[in-house]
Amino acid sequence: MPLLGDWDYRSREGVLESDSGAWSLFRVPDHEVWHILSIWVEAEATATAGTRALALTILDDTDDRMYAARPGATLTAGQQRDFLFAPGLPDLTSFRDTDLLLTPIPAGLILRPGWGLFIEYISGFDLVDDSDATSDIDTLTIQIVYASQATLSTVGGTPQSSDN
Amino acid sequence: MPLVNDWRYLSREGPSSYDNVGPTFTVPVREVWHVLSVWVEYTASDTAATRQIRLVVQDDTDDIMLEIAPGVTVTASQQRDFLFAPGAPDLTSARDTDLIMTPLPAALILRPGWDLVISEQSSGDTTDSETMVVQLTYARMAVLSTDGSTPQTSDN
Repeated sequence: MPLLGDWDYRSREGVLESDSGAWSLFRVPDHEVWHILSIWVEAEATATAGTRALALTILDDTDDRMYAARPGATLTAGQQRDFLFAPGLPDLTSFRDTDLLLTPIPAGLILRPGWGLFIEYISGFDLVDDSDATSDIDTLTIQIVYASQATLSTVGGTPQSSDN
Repeated sequence: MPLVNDWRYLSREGPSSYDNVGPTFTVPVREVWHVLSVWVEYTASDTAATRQIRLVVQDDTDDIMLEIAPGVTVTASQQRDFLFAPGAPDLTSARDTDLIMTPLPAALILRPGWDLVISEQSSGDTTDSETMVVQLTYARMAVLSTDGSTPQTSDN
């Protein structure tokens, strides 16, 4: 367990949810602050026609949107594409070597206690499992690398208004 | 031996022989690495083909954590140098005919047991007669535990 004020380097794999959309949510535990270092997304689309767009959204502890980023390219039916979000990367608008897209995020992307990091398909996705043999929906495999710092309090997870 | 949480600056040359995966650096247990730069001297054989190289980071179970692709490919008999480092420009043509610079994430952290691999995505020569000389500079921090090298799932 790190001392208060120490950064502990961690990583975490997402769990794909697909009830009303295809998405994965990472929620910062109480008494922790996260500094996001990189986000790796492997997206695989089914053969169902549609242009899939991805979005990265940061939510506070009441699910207000604090930040959003969108990669510079989409994927279509039957494609498998990899997306890397990290500080200092170029903002590519076409896939490099056919399958890899790089997108920058802020160098100081800090998530406070209770905040969420949300990756989702925002359009064109296929959530209809129309295969008898195996699951047949669009998928996302997500790996995040982050630094975690212990905090004594969760106060401030909800942003203060400007007059208090 | 540095104290826990102190950063110590080191460098390391990649293996001179490697299989088709490419030169691999593996973080020892109880260490965390912050990658500062990766230098690759690549020499292609004379077999006709377009080569793409890629920097790949894998966790201790070989799940891919990130990949970086330079903006330039290499063809037969070419010798090219690649620099990967935070803050470098993202070149899409070789500068002075032989140097390609590509940015890395500002904080490229490798945990215990993770691998950094310079991989050929496509190769014209399956006999491994192409060569890659790789030099890595990094900061190393001692850690007390290897817990967490395999990423947690988001619900634990």
